[in-house]
Amino acid sequence: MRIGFNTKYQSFLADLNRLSSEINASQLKISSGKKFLRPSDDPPSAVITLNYKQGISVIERYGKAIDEGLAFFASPREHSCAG
Amino acid sequence: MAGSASQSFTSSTLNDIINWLNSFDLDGDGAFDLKATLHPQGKLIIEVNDKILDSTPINSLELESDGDFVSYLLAKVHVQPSFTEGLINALKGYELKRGDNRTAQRIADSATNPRTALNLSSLNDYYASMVGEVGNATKAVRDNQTFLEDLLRQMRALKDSISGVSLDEEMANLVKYQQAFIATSKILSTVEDMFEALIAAKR
Repeated sequence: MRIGFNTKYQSFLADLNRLSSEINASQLKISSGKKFLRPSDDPPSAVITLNYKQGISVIERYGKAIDEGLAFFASPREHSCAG
Repeated sequence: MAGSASQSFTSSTLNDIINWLNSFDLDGDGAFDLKATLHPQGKLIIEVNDKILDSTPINSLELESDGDFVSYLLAKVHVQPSFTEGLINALKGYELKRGDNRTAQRIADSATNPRTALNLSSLNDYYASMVGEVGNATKAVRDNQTFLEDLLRQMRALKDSISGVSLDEEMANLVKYQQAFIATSKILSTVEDMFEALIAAKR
């Protein structure tokens, strides 16, 4: 295959562009501290992460409800009925 | 309307009826007899505006029902559903009592209940699968883009390998043509020497 100056230049430039975009993605990962920024970066992990996040929020909500229930049991019945 | 306004009614919309009622001026004193308005809650209000008809005060108003006006109005008027019907009234709440968490539990369950409208998945799962679907589509489009860019680059490389300029090749061609030039000039000088020898032999 004949390799001209233009061929060399263009493949060099394409590789440079690809590497800069990879560097950009890595730097964004570093600065945000997240493994992926968009669901399209890693769709299966994004779905799993969403499920875990929902589980965490449900657990947090249950924790608050438990605290409120404890406070409810600790409070005298007459006071809250009068209010 | 007291016999004198018994023109038949043919118009089609409620606004036309209201305009028709508003346009009455039987005694011709410039003041319209009736004032019809449509209440925002769906009532048609007809008020008597000009209470004096030909210098005699009106004290009774009679709607004739032999024309099509009243039946038309009855057909036009939408029957408002009573307040015991509808979606909101079909919801049965729990009686509010101290320490009763059933309402809160139902609200919490609404996130995880399977829904027939969402293919028997819960709201959580449906949202997650939607995000996954969109993410997959975006990833596919991006992969397709990189593939097409690589394809384009390979095609361009192929084209350049045929029509592009290669400096090494040009250099080699230059040397080759120079050698050919030198060879040709050598042939010419040899031929000239031969001619010289021939001419010298003739003398």
